Amino acid sequence: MKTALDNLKGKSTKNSLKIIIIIAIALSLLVPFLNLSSFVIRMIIMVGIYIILGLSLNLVTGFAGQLSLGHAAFYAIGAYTSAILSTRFEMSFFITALMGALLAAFFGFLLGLPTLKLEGAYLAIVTLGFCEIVRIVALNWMGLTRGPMGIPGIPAPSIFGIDLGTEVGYYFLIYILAAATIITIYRIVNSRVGRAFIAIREDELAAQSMGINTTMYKVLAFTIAAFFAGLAGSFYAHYVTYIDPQSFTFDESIQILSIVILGGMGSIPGTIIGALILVTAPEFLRSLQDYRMVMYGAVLIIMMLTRPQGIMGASKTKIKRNKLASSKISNKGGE
Amino acid sequence: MSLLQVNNLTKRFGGLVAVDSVDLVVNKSEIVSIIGPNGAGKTTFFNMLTGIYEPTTGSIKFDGKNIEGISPEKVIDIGMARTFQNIRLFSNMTVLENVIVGMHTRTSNGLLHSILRTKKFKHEEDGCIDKAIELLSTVNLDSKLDEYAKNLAYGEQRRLEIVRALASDPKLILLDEPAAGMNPQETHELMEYIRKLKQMGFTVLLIEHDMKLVMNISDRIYVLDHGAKIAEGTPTEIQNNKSVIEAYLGKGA
Amino acid sequence: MFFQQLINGLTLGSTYALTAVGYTMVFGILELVNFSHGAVYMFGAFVVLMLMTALKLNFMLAFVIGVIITGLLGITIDKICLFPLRKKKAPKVASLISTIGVSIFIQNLVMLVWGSETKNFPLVLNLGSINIGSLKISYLQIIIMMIAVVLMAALTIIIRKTKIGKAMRATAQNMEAAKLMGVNVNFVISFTFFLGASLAAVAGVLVGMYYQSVDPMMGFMAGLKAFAAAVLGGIGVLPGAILGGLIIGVSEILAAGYIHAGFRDAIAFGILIAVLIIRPTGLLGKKVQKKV
Repeated sequence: MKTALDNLKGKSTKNSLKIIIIIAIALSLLVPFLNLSSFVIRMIIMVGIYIILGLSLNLVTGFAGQLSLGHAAFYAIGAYTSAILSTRFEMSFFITALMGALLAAFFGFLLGLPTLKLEGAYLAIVTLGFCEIVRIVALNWMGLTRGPMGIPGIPAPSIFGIDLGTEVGYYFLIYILAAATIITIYRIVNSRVGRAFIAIREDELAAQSMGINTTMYKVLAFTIAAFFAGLAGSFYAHYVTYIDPQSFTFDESIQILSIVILGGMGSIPGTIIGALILVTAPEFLRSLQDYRMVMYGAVLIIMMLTRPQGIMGASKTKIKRNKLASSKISNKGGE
Repeated sequence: MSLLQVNNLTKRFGGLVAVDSVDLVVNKSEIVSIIGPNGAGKTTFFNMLTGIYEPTTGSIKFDGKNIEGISPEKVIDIGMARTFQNIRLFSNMTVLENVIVGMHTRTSNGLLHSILRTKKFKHEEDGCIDKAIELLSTVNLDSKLDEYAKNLAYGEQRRLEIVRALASDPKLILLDEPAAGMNPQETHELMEYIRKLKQMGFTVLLIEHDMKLVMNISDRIYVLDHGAKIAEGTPTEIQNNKSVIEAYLGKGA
Repeated sequence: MFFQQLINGLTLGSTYALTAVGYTMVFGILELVNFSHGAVYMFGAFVVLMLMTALKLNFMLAFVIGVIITGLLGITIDKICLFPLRKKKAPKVASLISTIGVSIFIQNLVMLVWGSETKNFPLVLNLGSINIGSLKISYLQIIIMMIAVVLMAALTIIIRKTKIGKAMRATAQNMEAAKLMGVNVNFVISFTFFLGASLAAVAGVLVGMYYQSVDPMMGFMAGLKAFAAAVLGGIGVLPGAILGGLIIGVSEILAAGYIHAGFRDAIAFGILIAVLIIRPTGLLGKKVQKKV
């Protein structure tokens, strides 16, 4: 007879999944040495950026259930912070990235505090409006952002004097950042904090009755998400070396949201797959030339009609027991 | 010794008086029931106790402290946990997770411990799992730990909701029509279970329509009608109370 | 100067109000933010223009046909892209993404068929203007505001007094109950989309006449602002959409005049956020008591 704990572990499926993950990791480490064209490498790096953006939005929208249409705002704040600090004060990437992420998190906190009492359409328009405000400020505050001229000449990152501004350097840098994001978000989601997020999504009133301070947790989800979006923005700025407000429009927020929904709200592997598909899709559709964006719209619609829960659907969160089973429980299983 | 003491509690919605100056006392280790026809104000009464509605007037004293107008998330913290009339589980969470969310206020793992998977994190998680399994085994749900709550049968969902409330180690547990929609067999099991809760040292306040259940397990009963208390007493006293019979069957019965 | 801008703002605001009504009606019934609405507004302006230039129809005929075509487009969007999702009881956000897909699709299709450049919208009604002191009100502005007022009044009468209006209100209150009472809910939803889309088309044409130009991107910002207007007034509440539209229109023109032209869009959203922080359900929205 299976014990209660065996039920929890689901061993067989877990092992095969582990093997797949290990193979995927091994293969991905070889990528920069496969003599791929710069174009493909560039594509992969962009996928990495969108994995970070998608996962962070998924935390807010997929796990905590709060629809945000303004995620690009935090991406922009991270990118501009990094760009300004590195071009004017010659700070290194690692400092500017931290500053960018923290400033984005701070704005996430500021926006979240008064607005997360709002629901549905109200929250959607406020996040959207915030995103527009950030873009318009970036466009008009010439002294700080140079407005539509953008900020050129953002230096490539380096560490201990090693220049990371090469394809291999950028690849491993985004690889580490994306992996760190995946692990962090995974661990948050599979913890007391994450369960509080999901409980709020499932039934806010019941969550409150369980003692969850729903406003505090929603603000927390927003702040964490903004932090990672800011981090992605910082990397982006140092990667493309030139940013302007055009990169952070409402379309960008929609692109990130589409990744989350296409992959499956509340699914971490889903977001990774979603980023892969939506970042590369326009390239695959490039042969359609002018029809490209028309097709993109059609694909979104068809996707939603055929699989509204996304490719993966929400994945089960895992609670893992770490110690050996205590005698009481194994006895029970043996009965 | 009284655990919960409600004085003169009133709730008005506009011109409608949903609950009209109700007094009520629950002593430690008692099972107290509130009965009354539909629309008598029972659930509104519960909602005031648990902070979902703010009382218009009146006082609620729990465990020696005045708590009227408290916010809902604080209620469980001070030792009062509830279930809902129309089951409110976290449908897309597993049975085990539902129970562990119930332990939210009794646990403390924050962001840092969760991200770093510290010893404290693991220790607390393990403790939660063990405790949850133990609680679930009392309602025979320990074989369905990894099942989504939405996939459980109706009676199982009711039981899970009770266990989720118990997970917070409450001093008082409020059950809002726990037998609603249950078949006689399930109701019987529920009755036994509520008795067992009393033996385990819990205090129970319940709203229920099933008279057999109420009369069998209650130490004392309060009867509400049109928002006002019309009777209180032991099951035998209530069964013979004239105004109660009138409220249920109409005048002239 | 101030009154001049107030008039300009009210003119613009009336077109927002006409568009906002579409958001608010669809939201009232389906609790869905229809992101294709801005593209529908742009489509309406283009169709009327094309009927006039390509088919050489006179303005009034082109206007009526174009508005009806756009109304039918509204129904089509619902039938193809939203109805199947309702049937599946898919999450609301899937419908939302679907409407975003529709928006991208229409906008790019229009660019493909009619080109992405800004097009001249002929000056169909050149009536001059009235001057009161330094205040200059063009007859076109008066006509725009009059059309908005008349259509809003007509819409209010439809919703308050007619049978279909009653059915719409019933569906918005409780779709299941309306169904049980014999309301043809699918027809009501189609009718709502038709009304919303055709009013957006009217707004699109009016804006085209006002600025004498249309372009495939014109629906984007206008759509966002009309949505903001609907929420500002209290989404699902018809008079709220009108009030919200006027407030957004006036505040944006005043902001452009007195603060900085570059910030005009930011101001509109800033006001919206400020209002929602103070009144989370918008100016005229009602708070619903939670059922437990």
